[in-house]
This record gives sequence, C-alpha cells and structure tokens, in this order.
Amino acid sequence: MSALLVVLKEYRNAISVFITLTVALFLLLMAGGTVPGDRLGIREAILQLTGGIQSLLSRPVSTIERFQDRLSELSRLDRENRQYKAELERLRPLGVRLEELEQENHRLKSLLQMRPDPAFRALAVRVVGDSSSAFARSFILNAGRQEGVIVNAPVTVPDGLIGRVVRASSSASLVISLLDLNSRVPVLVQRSRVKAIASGQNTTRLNLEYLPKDADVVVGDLVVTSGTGGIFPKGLPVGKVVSLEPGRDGLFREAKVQPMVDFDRIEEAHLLLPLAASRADLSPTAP
Amino acid sequence: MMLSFLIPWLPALTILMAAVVQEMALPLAAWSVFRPDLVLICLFYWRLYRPDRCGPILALLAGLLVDVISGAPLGLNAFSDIILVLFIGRFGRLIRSIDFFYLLFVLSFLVCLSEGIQLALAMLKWGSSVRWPLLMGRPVATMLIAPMIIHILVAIHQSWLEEPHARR
Repeated sequence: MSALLVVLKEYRNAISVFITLTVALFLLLMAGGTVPGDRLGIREAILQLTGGIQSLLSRPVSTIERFQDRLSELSRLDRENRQYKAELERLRPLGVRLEELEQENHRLKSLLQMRPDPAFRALAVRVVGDSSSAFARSFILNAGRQEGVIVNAPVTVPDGLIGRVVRASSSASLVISLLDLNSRVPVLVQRSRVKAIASGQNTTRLNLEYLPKDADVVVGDLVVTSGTGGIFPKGLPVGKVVSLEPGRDGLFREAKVQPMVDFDRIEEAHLLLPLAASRADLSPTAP
Repeated sequence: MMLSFLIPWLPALTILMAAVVQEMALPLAAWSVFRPDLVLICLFYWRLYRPDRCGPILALLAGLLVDVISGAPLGLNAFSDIILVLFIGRFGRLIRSIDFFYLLFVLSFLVCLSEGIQLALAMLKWGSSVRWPLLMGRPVATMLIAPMIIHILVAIHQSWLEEPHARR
C-alpha cells in the first residue's frame, strides 16, 4: 500500500496530466461532447443561469444601442427637416407664382371668351405701365405698330370698354382711359336707347353729357357704346347710371355713370383693331 | 481578514472570472470575431509564475467551464487548455526569460496553437466546418488586450500571493 502511495506521489504530475487528458478526450470523442449527466438537466441549468446573466449584462448594451438608434434617428430627422425647410423656402416663391399664373389664366380665359365686333379683330395685350397723373388717366400696353396697333383703337376687357389708343410706338402704345378728362365716348342707354356722350372727369365716375331733360333714364340703366363716330364698335358696356341731376343750363340732365371696369385692376386687355383700317389711321398720334 | 481563505484560490477565481467575462460580458456581434482568450492569458500567467496554483486539473476545469458556457462540444477547450498548460510548463523557463514585448507574440502563438488543436479535434470529429474569421481574430484580440490583463494579474499576484498574505 505504501509502495503504491510512493509511486502515486512520485508520478502525481504525470498521473494528473493523464487523467485530465483522458477525461477531456473521453468527453469530446467518446461521449460526443455531452455531459454524462445531461439527462439530469445539468446543461439546461447552466444555460438558464448563463442566459439570465447574459440578458442582465446585455441590458445596458441594448439600452445603449437603442439610445444610439434614437440618436441616429433624431439626426436623420433633423437632416430631413432642414432639407424640407430648404425645399419649402425654394418652393414658396413658386407657390406665389403659381397663384399668380392661375389668376392670370382665369383672366386670359375671360378675355378669350369675349366676342369682338365682326369688323374688328382682337389683339390680346398686357398692361405694362400706368402713366396716370393728377391730370391724366392713361396706361401703357406692350403692343405697338409692329403688332398692327393704330391710334384710336378701342381697348376692352371682359367687363367692358376701358379706353382708346392715343399714341402708338413700334412696340408700345399709350391708352387714354374713359376716366381721363379728355375722354369722350358716344354712348346710349341700353334700355331706352337714349344717346349721350360719356365724358371723363378724372374721378372714378363718368359724366353723361347732352342727356335730354326728359330722357328716359333711371338709376341702374346700363350704358353702352353707341357706335357713332366710327371709333368704338357698338354695344360695348361702359357703365351703369348711379345718379341723375338736373343740368346747370336747364336744357339737359346730367347723369353719373359708374364704369363697369375696375381701372385699378387691369392687367391684360384686348385691343380691337379694325379689319379695314385705313392707312390714314396709322398716324403716330391722335388728332 | 475574513476572506483570506480565498487567497490560495485567487488564480482559479481569476480564471473563473476570465471565463465569465470572455463568454458573457459583451454579447456584441463584433465580440464573437474579436473575442480575446482571457482564460488562456490567465492560464499563461499563472502557469508561468505560480505553477503550483495552476496545473492540468485547473486547466481541465477552466476549459470545461468555457465549453459549457459557450456551448462548444464538451472537452474541446478543456483538452487544448491542458495541452497549453503542459506546453507552458515545459518551456516555462525559456518563456520567462523573454522580454515582455515578445511575450505578447508568444501569447499570440499559444492562442494559435490552442485554435489549431481545437481545429484538429473538430475536423477529426465533425469534418471541416469551421468559422475562419473567429480563428483569425482571436490571436490578434488576445495579443492586444493581454498587456492590460497581465497588468491586473501582476497586481493581484504582488498584492495577495506574495506579500504579506501569502507568507502568512
């Protein structure tokens, strides 16, 4: 017995190496890498333990990961927000422009629906300037002789007459409005066919001159061009009678007419050009 | 000190701790590729400087623990760890004389040796299915982290196993 102990003591290192290697190899190769007591659930218990520890340890890691995800998400949102703001700033003028074009489209459609007098052809023009002053009510159109514009050509909008051309250059023309002091338009009251002259007063209303004292005119009557004088075609709306007063000389009555057109809002217009315009009409200024 | 009875078991405890940290501490995807072999570093150090506290039995138990925790075939790490411990014991005197910087390469070589043994065993038993990136990443990661771990082990060694506690 003692001899055995001596041998064990002397070769204990070699024996321990042998035993440990044998155990490891046995487990690996003979037992197929399983614990002999697997049926008792040893591995499951260890798995349960290590799984619990790992989930505990992974909690801060997953929290940090979520935090990182959240940060990157916020960063992405911030970036997108800036992009969208820049896009919005870029598109804002376009929105205004779109609205402008929509209104212009509406106006131009109204212009197109106007049916000019058969003796005239319509030329769509744009109002490019207002040359009104304290003593004149006029504006400038972007069409001139190159486009066939002639002096005295009537200018209309869908609501009615607004004036006539008094001067034409090669690419622009000056229009005197109905409200100008120098404007005189032969008109008639549509309902009673009473003729008169609508003259500008440099105010917002027209004056009906030479209206007979007993003329059948009432407030609200529509006044249209009479076609006499050879400048304005017949039947263009001019305005509505808003007041009636006895004349100063007692022979005539005076009526105030509210123009059909809002002269402050004119942007496009139709120039009515006579189809058989005489060369004499092509003088650069009105008489 | 109340826990003074644990002092002789410090090498085993550090290996236990190393196994736990190595297999469970950082469950990140990158960790599986660059997972350093902390257990091997501990076995290396203790086998070199306290061979009386780190023999084949401790290597067997440490390897089995790693196998159990990691889900590897039981005995795979155990066998390679025993071989490594024997290798370190056999060439301990030579290794101790090497400069610390070169020790890192020795350590890296030992990791490769361990991987080689495990690979050979695995191929012997299951064929050639092996995740090569893991084999490549581990020696590098071990070499990089070894100075820090060895520094901690040296501190433990000097503080608890040499003076004055060890003498008592």
